[in-house]
Amino acid sequence: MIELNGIAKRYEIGAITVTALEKVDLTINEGEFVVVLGPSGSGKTTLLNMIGALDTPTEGSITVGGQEVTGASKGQLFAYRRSKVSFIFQSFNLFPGLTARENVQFGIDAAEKRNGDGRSAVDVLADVGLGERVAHFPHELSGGEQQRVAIARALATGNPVVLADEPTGELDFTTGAQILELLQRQSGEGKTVLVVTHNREISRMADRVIELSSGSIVHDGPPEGGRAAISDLRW
Amino acid sequence: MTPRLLLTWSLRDLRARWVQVVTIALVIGLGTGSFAAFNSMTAWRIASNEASFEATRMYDLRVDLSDNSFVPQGQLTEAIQSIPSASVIEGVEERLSVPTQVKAAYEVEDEDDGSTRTETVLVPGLLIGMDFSDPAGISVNRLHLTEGRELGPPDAGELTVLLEHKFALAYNLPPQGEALIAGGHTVNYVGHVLAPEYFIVLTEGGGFFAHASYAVVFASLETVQDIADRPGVVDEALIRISDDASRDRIIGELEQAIGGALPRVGFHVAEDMDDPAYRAITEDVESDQQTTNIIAFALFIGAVFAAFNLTSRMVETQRREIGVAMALGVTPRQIALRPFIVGGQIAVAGIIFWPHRWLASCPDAEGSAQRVHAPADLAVAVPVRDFWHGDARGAARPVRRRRLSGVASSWRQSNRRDPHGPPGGARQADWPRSCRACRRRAARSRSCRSGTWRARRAALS
Repeated sequence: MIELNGIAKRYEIGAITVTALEKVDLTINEGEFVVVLGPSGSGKTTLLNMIGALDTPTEGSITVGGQEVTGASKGQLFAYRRSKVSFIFQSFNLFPGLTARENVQFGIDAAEKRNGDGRSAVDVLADVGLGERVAHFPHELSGGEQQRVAIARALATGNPVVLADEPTGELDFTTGAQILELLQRQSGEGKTVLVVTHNREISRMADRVIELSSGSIVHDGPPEGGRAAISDLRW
Repeated sequence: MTPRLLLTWSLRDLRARWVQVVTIALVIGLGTGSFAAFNSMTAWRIASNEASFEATRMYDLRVDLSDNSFVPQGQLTEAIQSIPSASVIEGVEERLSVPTQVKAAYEVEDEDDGSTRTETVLVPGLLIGMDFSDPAGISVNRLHLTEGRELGPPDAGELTVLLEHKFALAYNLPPQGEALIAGGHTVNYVGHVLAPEYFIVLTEGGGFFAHASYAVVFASLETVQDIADRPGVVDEALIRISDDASRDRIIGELEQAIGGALPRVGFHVAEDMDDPAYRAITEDVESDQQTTNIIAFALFIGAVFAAFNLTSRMVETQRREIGVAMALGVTPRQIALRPFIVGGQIAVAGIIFWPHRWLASCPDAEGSAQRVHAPADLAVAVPVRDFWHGDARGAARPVRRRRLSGVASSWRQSNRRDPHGPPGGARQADWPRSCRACRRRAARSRSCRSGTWRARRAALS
C-alpha cells in the first residue's frame, strides 16, 4: 500500500548539511496500524510529511496506493492529498471560525467527495462522540473534543490513509486513550493508520512499531511483548 | 467549499476582526471618497459658477466708452434698442463708473489682552452708479445682498452706498457705517453685496487676492453723477440677450448703431467671457482641478497601500489556517477565495460607509468643505452635499448590481466628467430645470458638454 524506497532528506544550511532521513526503505500494508517511534529530531515528522506529500525527499521514491508521489506535479500532489491521505495534527489545527460540523464539512468538501459510506458531517461527529456538539466552535470545545473533531474531519474524507502526528501530545491520559481507540477502530475498518509519537507506551497498541533514530530505522516489527489493549496502557 | 459556507466563514472573519475591518473600510472610504470628491470639484464649481452668474443676471455684452467719454443718460440705451435684432435684448442697464479711494475705520482685536482698537484702511477703488429706480430691480448685473439692506428709489441722489462683500469681510466691517471717498464725501454704507464682476477681485495686472486692497462701492446713478460732478451722464451699458441670439451679429449691429448715433464717442463692445473675473473663475476651475487631481491621486494611492497593508496583515494571521487547508488538499485558488471575499466585503463596506456621506450630513463639515472647495465667494453655492451624495449613490450602483466586483466601476461612476449633467445617481428632476447659461453656450458651441470649455477657450485665444 505504502512503499518507500531509499528515501533520504537532507537540508543544506550554508555549508552544513543536516540529514533528517537516510536511506529509508519501508512498506506498510493496507489496514495496518503503525506507530512510528523515536526521540525528537529522529525524522518521524519528516517521514510523515513525505508520505503526506507535504515535503519532498532529496532521494528515493514514494508510492501510495499505486500512485507515485515523488516527481508528481503540484496539481497531482493537491489531488493526492485530497483523495489518498488525511492528516491529524498534534495541535488539532481546526479552523477557529468554523463550527465542529463546518470543520468536518470542510474536509468533505476539500476531498471533493462524500465520505465513503455517504454519511454526513453530523453522522461522522456522532461516531466520534460529538453528536451533541456539532454547532460548537473549537474554542468552545475541550482539547480532547477538538482532537476528535480533527479525527472526524480526517475520517469524513473517506481517504484510505490516516497520518497522525503526535495526536495525543496535548491530551491527558484518558482523553489520549479515547483518541487512540478511535484511530485503532479506523484501522479495524480497513484504513491504514500511521501514528507518529515519542511516547513508547502508545506503541504497545500498534500492529507494528517502526523506531527511528537519527534518520534511520533501527527497529521495525510488532511491539515488544505483543500488542496490548488500550486499557493496559499507562503513561 | 460551498458558497454558503464561504460566505458564512467570511462574515465571521469580518466580525472577528472588526477593528481591522472598520479601519480598512474607513481607509477605503476616505481614499475613494476624497478621490471622488476632489475629482468632482470641477462639476460642482461649474454648477456653482453658472448658478451664481445666472442668479445675478451677469451681462452677455457690455458697451464701454473710451476713457473720459460720457454720454447723456438714455442715449446708449436708445442706440442699443435701435438695432435690427432688438427683440433679442432682454435688458439694458446704464452705469457710471468712476475711480475713487475709500477710507474706512475698522475694529482690531488685540491678541494679547483681547482689547479692541480702531484702525483705518485707505485703498483705491471704484464707485459704480446704477439705476435703482425700477421697482422690478436691476435687469442686468444684479447685486446679491449678503449683509444690511438693498438700495432703492429713495436712495437716488443720497450718500448711501453698498460695499463689495469681500472688501467688507476683509476688515470685518459692520453692515452699516460710514466711509470717506475721494472728493471728501462721507457716505453711509448700508449693506454688503456680491456682484458678478467681483466674485473674485483682481489687481489691475490680473493678480489674485486683491479684495482687501481694492474697494468697490455701489451707489445710485444720481449719487455717483453728483459725486463725480457729471450730472446726467453715463459711461457704460450692460446688455443681456436671449440664449439663442447670435452674438457676432448682435455685436456687429451694436457697433453700427452706436457708431451712427454717437459718432464722436469712442466705445468698445465686449462679451462676458472677456470679463477678468469671469475668466479667472471659469479658467481657474480647470487649473485647480489639475492640482487637486494630484492630491486626489496621492490620497487614492495612499488608501490603496494602507488597505493592502492592512489586508496583508489579516491574511498573515491566517497563515496557519492556509497551511492546514493546503494539507487537506485545497488548491491555492480555492484558498484565495476566502480573503478575496473578505476583501470584497470590506470594499463594499468602505463604499457604504463612505465618510463623505456622513460628513455631508453635518452642516459644519459641509460648510468647511464649501469654503475649501470655493476660492471665490459666489452668490449661489450649489450644495457640495448634492455632489457627494450623488457620487456615493453613483458608486454604490455597480456594487448593488454586481456585488463584489464593483470597486473599479465605482471609480468610473463617481468620477463624473459631465459638468452639466445631473449629479451621479440623482434624478433628472433634482437638477435645476433651466440652466440658462448652459443653453446659451450650447447655442454657441453646439455642444453642452466639454465643448463649452473648448469653445470658450478658443474664443479667448
